[in-house]
Amino acid sequence: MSTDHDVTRIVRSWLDEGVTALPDRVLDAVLDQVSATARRYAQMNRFAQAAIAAVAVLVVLFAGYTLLPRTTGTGGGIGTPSPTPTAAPLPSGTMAPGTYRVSDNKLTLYPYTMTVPAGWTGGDGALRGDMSSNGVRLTTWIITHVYADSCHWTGTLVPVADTAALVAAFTAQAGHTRSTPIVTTIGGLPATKITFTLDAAFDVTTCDSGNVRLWPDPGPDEGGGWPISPGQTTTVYVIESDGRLMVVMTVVRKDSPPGDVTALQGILATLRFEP
Amino acid sequence: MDTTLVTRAQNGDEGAFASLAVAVGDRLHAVAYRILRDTDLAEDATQQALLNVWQDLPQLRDPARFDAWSYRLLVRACYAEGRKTRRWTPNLRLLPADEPMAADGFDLVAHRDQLERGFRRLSIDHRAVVVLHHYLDMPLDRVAETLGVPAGTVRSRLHHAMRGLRAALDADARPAAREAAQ
Repeated sequence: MSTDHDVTRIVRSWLDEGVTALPDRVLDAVLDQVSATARRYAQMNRFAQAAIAAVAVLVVLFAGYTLLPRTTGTGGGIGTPSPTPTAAPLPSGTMAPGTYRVSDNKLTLYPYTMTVPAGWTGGDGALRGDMSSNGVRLTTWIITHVYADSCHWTGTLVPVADTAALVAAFTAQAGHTRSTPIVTTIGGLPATKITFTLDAAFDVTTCDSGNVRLWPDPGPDEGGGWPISPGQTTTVYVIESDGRLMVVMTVVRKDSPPGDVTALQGILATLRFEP
Repeated sequence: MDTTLVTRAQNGDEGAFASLAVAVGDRLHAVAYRILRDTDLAEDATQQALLNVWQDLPQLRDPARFDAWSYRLLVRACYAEGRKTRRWTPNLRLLPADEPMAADGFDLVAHRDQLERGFRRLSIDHRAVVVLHHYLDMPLDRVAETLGVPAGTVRSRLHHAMRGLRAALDADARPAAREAAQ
């Protein structure tokens, strides 16, 4: 009869045997497909931009027509409201200036629109710059749990079921500093605003897995989650709907260009939920 | 992993992605092979996982989690490859007669077939835990994080898997022991 130690030793030795190198042909096939995808995406983007421009012209013409004073009847006609231009779905990658709609229910409880200027990148919201240094970002997150300790976060998950519980958990969270919660509105919905900061000199290597984590992906799924890095400020707006919670978040860094921070606030001001 | 490289790739930089793929390709392939026990399936799983990395990178919210995230995509690709074929073709390998024994004296050659059979009886879920923990030396909490399952589930899967492998080894040892007793 083998002991547990024997079995472990034998299994480890056995696993060490066998192939390790990925053949070049497989890597080449991957990179070829990536290039082809990127080219197709660029072509689609150009086509989409042309299509959006064409639709915009038609919308303007239609709106102009419906708003023209009628020549028949008495007192002139009352124009019908001009239709709202259709917001484009959020792309992954560079965004043309315009209004975008986010409806992925893994990201948000309600669809929302936001208007971005030139130079921003899509994905799960809008970001500008290098997020590993001085980039700024607006995104949303569904939250079911938070960590009681953002530095030594392993095994500290706390479930949260409503705004009061989430705000209380955020307020009690150890490992970083935070502002006093403020009741406000965001995108037309009631919200509670809290700002988290981590000192630029903070040594994250002392924390679990070398990062400071505020919450995991919903579920909880600890394969992902939101980290806060030294010198970063994350502002969250907590929103609740039917017992589910989400946050709208803005992220700025200590060295983020002031112009980018101002533009981020501008985008935030355009955000509108569609409850 | 260099998070700057990850961020550049997230923003659509093909060159950065190529560097990432080169950096992680061997590691992903080695893990896929050990989970699937088949070279062709492992290559297909690795290729699919790398393509999924490119496609889903913009959704990766924390570049520092790239390694764990890429392993998760790989394990998913292994599930998909495993489903494609109900019966996996074993890789036949000629063993040289003078293959060295393990340094501490036990004869790994004698255990290979039993381990291979025992391992193939395990589900992909169980294999993934064994490989991440015993091949990559990942602590169990990180395995749980990588696979997106509770730590208790990982411990249970590992326990079940190792019990199965131990049974495979002991089953082979039993007839020999009986013969020796006669």
